[in-house]
Amino acid sequence: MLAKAVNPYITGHVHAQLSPRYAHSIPESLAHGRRLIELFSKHGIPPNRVCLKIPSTGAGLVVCSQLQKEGINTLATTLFSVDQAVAAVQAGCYYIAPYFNELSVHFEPETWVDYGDDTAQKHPMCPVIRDIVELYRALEKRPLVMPAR
Amino acid sequence: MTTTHQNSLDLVKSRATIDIDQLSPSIAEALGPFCDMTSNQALIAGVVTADPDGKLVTSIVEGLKQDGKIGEEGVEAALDLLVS
Repeated sequence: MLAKAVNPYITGHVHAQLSPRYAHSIPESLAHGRRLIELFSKHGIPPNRVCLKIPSTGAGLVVCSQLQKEGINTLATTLFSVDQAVAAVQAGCYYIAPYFNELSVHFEPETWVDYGDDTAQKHPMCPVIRDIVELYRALEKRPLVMPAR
Repeated sequence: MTTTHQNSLDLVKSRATIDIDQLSPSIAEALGPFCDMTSNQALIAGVVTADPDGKLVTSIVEGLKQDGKIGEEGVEAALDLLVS
């Protein structure tokens, strides 16, 4: 209902995240992804305008690979390492979302760390994301990088 | 008289691809167009808890109950309906 309402103001994809409870199940994740695609279609958003966000687990990346083969774009989320980013290339993901902050900072403000004016040097995810970007630059077919704040 | 007003968002849009990181039709209408609309379960929770009279959630839950979807299946179906 929300994507349907926002869609007139969007030129690219609307994103929907698979349930994390299926993060380690290929069949459950595939079934959930297909339920979402069907719902979006009912709301007038065709499969090629939807991007499914899928946890970068072993099972999740197999699901990404399968859905990409079916023409459904995927985003590898809960991605914290270069290894996961390489696996996302192998799965053919359209995007990756490396986490920048810990998810907790949005709910427990005391977990947010102030790195002063040296965030680029001191934040632990900066070198990871930099390594991923540098690695991807050497690849012709690579996912787009959409860091999660 | 026609004036061209360029705010900082317009300036950034002229130089980069901008997505909307909110499930908000009103923000999308006011500040769009955008490239992608991102979402996750936490953003959906934000929309649900900000719903002033709960009408959106109530209507979805009622509809799902009529379809026999209750418990965990009902919660997941409600999230899917909200995001789509």
